[in-house]
Amino acid sequence: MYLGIDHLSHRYGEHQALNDLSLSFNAGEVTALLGPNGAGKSTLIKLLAGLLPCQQGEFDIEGRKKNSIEPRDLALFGFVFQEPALDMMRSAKANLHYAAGLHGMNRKTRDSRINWVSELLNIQDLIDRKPSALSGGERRRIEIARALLHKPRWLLLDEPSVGLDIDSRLQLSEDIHRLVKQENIGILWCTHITDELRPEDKLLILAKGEVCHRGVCGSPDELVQTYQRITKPHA
Amino acid sequence: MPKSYYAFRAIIDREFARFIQQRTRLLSALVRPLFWLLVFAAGFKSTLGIAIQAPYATYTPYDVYIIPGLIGMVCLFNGMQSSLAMAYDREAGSMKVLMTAPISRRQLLVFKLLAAASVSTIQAYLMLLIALLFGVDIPLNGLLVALPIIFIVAYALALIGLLLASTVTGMENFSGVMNFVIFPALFLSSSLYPLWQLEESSELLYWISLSNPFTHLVESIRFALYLQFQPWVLGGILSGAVLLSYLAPVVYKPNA
Repeated sequence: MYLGIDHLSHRYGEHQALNDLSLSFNAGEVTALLGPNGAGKSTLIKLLAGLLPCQQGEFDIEGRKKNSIEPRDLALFGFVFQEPALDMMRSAKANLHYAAGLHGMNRKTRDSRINWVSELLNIQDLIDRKPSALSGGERRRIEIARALLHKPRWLLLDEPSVGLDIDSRLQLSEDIHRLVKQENIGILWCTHITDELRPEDKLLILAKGEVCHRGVCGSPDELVQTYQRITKPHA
Repeated sequence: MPKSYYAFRAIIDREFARFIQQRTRLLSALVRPLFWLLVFAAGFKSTLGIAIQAPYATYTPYDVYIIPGLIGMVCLFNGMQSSLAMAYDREAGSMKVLMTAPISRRQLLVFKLLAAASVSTIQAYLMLLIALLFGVDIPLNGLLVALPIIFIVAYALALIGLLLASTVTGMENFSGVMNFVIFPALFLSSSLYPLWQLEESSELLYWISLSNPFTHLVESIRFALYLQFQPWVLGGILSGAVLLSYLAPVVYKPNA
């Protein structure tokens, strides 16, 4: 399974958010996308989510080249966006049912998928509660569960750990890395926080809409050094 | 069943769950028109009777006259409320959950509008039920016949709300626009007084009101309640709704 981006560029008026970006991601691995604010990480996720129109470049989704993400392509992706997006008035389970329904699942499939994902992320005790009664980390786990309900091949995370305490971040990191092994899912993880990544995770550093480093994360100290060395000239 | 059927069910279930949970929303949706009906119309009933005019066959008491306008008011407020909810969802980020579903954006938006129109229609009938209990003379067979018209009107108003939500960014701006839309739409229409009375006071206001789409939406309900139809008006409303539904995904910016 392969996801590629070829010569992707995107502008907001005069601001060049992405500039001739070419990347590829493989299933069964975590790719960390690091970069300072405004580097283009969220723009890339929004383009892959079809929330922004593709202005230039193309996507390669498992060999199918296309210059826009169509609704049926979205079945291959699960998204966790930067802003928490749970309906606070309904239980976590109702939130999961809603998302499963949007993916066209009937009642029986919805129930079995919710059971499956609850066990996978160990959230059985959380799903009957309203999000307002959950901690930030627990809400994020519900959101990851929601993104996995339709068994996507790719999970795209846009800074999901922002605002979480250390324990919640480590739990989130553990969940994500376990998913890669158990489900052979490909993960693109936009983040600012280096301690939640593992040495073997692939690393891409973006600055001003361009890739300025490709490699592996290495130890947390190495990662911080690499990040500072690469992004300083672009600051 | 096609996948889109389950998506539609999910959207309508959510809309109804919100409607039931937000009791103040239901209460305010009913209190507003009932205030007009049971206080304003009661006060002016003897002085503001309406002379014979289509579709009425006889002299019409004011509380009977304003019923279609109040149905329109319920649909107008709920349509704007649902678009406000969409603007809020977009700002809160939860609209992305909807917009990243593997179903065409046009279908998703139409489903959302159908759900909003269903809620408006239920609110309108609750208001009518209370009006009946208070002795307002509403033809019962007209209530049944007007159901599809009220639903279409509710859909059209939710659609206008959606287009507003599409063009306005930021919650503060949106509430401002609501005031610039709801009140002119309501007062510059035939919902609270017949246009010929307005014409006697000001020809300019008469022409503005005549060109107000809300006037025609209210009139289509008024005629349907008395088992009469204006094919051209209905055709116009339907074609407008279809055309705008087609355009909705072009103008709606999920990421604005």
